[in-house]
Amino acid sequence: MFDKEVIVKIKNGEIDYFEILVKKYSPVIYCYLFSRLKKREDCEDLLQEIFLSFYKSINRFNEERSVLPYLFEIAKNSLKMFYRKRKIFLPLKEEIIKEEDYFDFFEKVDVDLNKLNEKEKNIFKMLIEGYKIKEIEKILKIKENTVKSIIKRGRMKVKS
Amino acid sequence: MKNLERKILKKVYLWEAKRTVFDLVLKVILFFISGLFLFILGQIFFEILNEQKTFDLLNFFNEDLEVAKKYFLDNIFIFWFEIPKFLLLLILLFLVILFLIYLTLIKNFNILKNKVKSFFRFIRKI
Repeated sequence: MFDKEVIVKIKNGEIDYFEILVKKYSPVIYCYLFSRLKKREDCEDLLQEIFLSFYKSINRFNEERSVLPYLFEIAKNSLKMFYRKRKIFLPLKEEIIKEEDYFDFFEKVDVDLNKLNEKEKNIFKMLIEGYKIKEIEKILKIKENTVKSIIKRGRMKVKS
Repeated sequence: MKNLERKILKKVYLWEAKRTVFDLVLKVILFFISGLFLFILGQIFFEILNEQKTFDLLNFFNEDLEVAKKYFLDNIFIFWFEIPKFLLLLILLFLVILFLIYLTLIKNFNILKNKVKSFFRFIRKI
């Protein structure tokens, strides 16, 4: 049975025919996902999502088009979303750092400010002098998050 | 892989079942609510016309054909002037809604039937 006929049947409410598409295309998509993610659990979850979103959009799908490129398109988008979700978690962890942690850092590490640029140097000097981030924000007229990220960047430079 | 395929199908069937039930329930509720409103508004509409004795205007049809022809337009005009227009508009609106819901239900009946059959086949398989 051709894909076109299968899709017409599915559009007509005969959902059982979706099994044909799943059996035919899931191994290919799975291999593609595995080549990118290298993790079985993630691949399986993503594969389920991909086929579900394909099913959700099947009424809009033109049966004259071939299924596999469309599935790959969904897979690519799902991968993007997957990576994006992952990305969100990384900076969040950094943001959780409490203000005191910045001061602990100066106590523990003998800071070499020569490695830093002027902006970073200024902020670090203010931190050493005991200014709080809110105060630095007001004095230098920079947003709080910018101050934090400058500190973060500076810490990386100093550590390296 | 078979297990994974089954998981995918289960997810798809579950989603479709939820959607179908939600869609059907929504349409049935809308159908009955529209019907109920139509009935109530119709009752009010006829009661108002009865109170105004607007229906008496229709008696002229019992007159001679010549007389009926002569005063036909006048009577229709008076009739139109006397009926509560906003109520009539509401009745028409509910009639249209009712008709549209009925039409979609009839149109999608075969699809719905096939879906229900597929659900049962899938449940039996599991």
